[in-house]
Amino acid sequence: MTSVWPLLLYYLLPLVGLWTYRRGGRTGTLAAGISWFLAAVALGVVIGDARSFAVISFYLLSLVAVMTAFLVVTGTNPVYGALSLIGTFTGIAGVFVVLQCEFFGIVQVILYAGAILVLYLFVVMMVDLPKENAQKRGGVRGIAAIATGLGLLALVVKALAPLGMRLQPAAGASAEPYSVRAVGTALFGPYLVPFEVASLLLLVALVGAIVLSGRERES
Amino acid sequence: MVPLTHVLVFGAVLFLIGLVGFLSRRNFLTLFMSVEIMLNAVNVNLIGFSRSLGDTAGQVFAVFVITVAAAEVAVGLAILILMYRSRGRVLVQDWRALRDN
Repeated sequence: MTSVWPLLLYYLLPLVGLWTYRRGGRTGTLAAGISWFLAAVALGVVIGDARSFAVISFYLLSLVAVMTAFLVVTGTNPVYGALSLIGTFTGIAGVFVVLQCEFFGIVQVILYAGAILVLYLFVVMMVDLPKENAQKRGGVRGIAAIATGLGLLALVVKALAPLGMRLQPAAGASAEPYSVRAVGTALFGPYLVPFEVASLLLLVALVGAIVLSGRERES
Repeated sequence: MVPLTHVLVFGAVLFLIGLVGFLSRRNFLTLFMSVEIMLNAVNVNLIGFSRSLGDTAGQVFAVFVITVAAAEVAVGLAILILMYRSRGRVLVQDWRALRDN
């Protein structure tokens, strides 16, 4: 059962996306949202522990994230794609909160939905993109991509199915591994050198972006 | 408690949506957004494992993934602006300089 429902979900996705796109307007979007909510609640009741609100909200948020990710991939207008990407990031942030990693929920909202998305929107506004032609994105390439995705998803799900029972907490695990203090202690303790290397990487990216986009002034 | 398998399946579905988008789209901005979705799916997996195993290492590596994503977006969008300046559009088929003829 566990291995079947994501495939069903994946097969349902284009229908919902097309349906929302074709109807347009407020009623189509609202109906799609309500149906997704009901589907998520049904998933939570059928699959998970129905008594827990956290479980139901996990499925709800993950469905929101998957749906908006699908809109990002299928839409023709990059501005709407960037706005849908905000939905994806917010849904993932909610999933992190449900998984008791509040720090990463906050980081996700501030960094992805706040900083990176604003950068995308800046660039979208700067480059003045024409609308991509919808007929051009199908074809052999699209079919091959979808076949690749479905095949890989089937493989991953098949590999994951027997995994759930075998994973056990490590013997030396810390008492409260999800708190901000634990993450900070790990980050500035055993992972100090990679952390500094990551900051060096950010510096290199900063210099590279400035050099690349500021070249016009020299000539 | 959400089972680990469902978190991993969620991550896999997100990753493969990003992969399909990356393979099938032509617009560079959409390609970058697909890459963001894939990196986020990796983060979901890392945090799911971190929670399930009771180990902070997964969250630490999620920090590194976020760093790499930010660097990639900054440099990538700078390259995209350069491409727009020289070609006037940002489609994949315009970049053929390194193609094997």
